Amino acid sequence: MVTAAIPGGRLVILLAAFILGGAPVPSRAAAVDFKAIPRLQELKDRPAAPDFTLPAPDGRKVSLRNFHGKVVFLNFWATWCESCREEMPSMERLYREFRGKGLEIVAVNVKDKRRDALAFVKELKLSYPILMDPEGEVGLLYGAFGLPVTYLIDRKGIVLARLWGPADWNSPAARNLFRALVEQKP
Amino acid sequence: MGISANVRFSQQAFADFLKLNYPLLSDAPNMKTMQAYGVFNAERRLARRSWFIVDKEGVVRYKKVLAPKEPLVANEVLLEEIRKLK
Amino acid sequence: MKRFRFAAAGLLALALIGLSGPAAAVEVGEKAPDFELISTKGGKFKLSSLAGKKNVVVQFYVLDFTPT
Repeated sequence: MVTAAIPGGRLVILLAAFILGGAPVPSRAAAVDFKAIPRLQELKDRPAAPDFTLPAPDGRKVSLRNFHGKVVFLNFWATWCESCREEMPSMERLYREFRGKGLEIVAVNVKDKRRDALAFVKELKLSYPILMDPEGEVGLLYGAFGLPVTYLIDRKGIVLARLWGPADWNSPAARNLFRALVEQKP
Repeated sequence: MGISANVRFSQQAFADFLKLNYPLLSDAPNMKTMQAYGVFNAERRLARRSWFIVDKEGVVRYKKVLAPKEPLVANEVLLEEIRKLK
Repeated sequence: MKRFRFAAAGLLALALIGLSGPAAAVEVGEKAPDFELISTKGGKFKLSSLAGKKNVVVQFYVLDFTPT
C-alpha cells in the first residue's frame, strides 16, 4: 500500500485498488473490442437478427426471440466441418464461464441427421443448446453456405458482429470481449 | 443490381461476402418485381436467373432468361450489348 | 365419362396457362416496369431514378450464396 503526503487519503486508496488489480472506476463498463477476434466483422448498421423457429434434438420448438434478454452467440455448424470441431471446445469453455452472466450459445446444426449431430455433441461433451436445421433454410438466411459462421447478438436481438470461419473463443482477448458484451447496459 | 427473393439480412451478408460494388435488392415478401418482369418461378417462389438491360429512356433493350443447365451470361456479353446502345 | 372430359379440359387449360407464362412478361422494346425495393446499399432503390442518366443491367438471381 502506497502512502502519500497529499491532502486527503483518497489517492492512497485508489492506488491500492489499482495495484491489487481492480479498475478504480467501476461505473464505466469495459469497451467492446471486436478486433479481439481475428476476422470478426462488426455490423455497423446493427440489423435486427431475423427470427426463426427450429426444433431441439428432443423435438421441442425453440425460437431465437426466446433468448431476448441474453447476449446470444449464434453459431452454425455441421458434423463434417473440421473447423467446427476445432472451435467447439473453446465455445464450451466460454459458455461455462459466461452462462451465469447472461451469455447464451445457440448452435444450429445445418443439414445433418439428428443422430449424427447428437453423437458429435456427446463426443465433445457440449452443454449449450443445439437446434436442428435439416432443410438448411435458416442456414441460408444467415449466410451459412460455408461453415462455421457465428453471429454475436445483443440482449435486444440486434446483430453486432459476424464471423465466417472458426475462432478461439476462449482466448483472453475473446473473454474480454464477452465480458464487455454481458456487462453492457441493456 | 441484383434482385432476388431473399430478405435484406441475407442479401447484406451475401453482398458483404462478395464485396459487391452494386446493390442487391429484395423483392420479398410479395415478389411483385419478378412477376412484373415475367421471371417468377411460382413453384419455388424464387426468381429465374435472368438479365435485362434497360436504356436511359427506360426501354428494355436486352433480355436473357437462363434455361436449366445453361451457363451464366458472361460480363463481356453484357458489356457488348451496352456498347451497342450508344 | 362427362366428369373425366371436364377434368381433362381443365388440365389442358392449366397447361396452356403454364406455357404462355404470366401476362406481364416483358420483351425487348417494351418499357421496363418500374420498381422500388429495399437495397443493401441502404434505403430503397427506384429504377426510374436512373432515367436519363444511365443504362442499367437488372439481374435476377435465384438465391443468396448459391451459384445462380
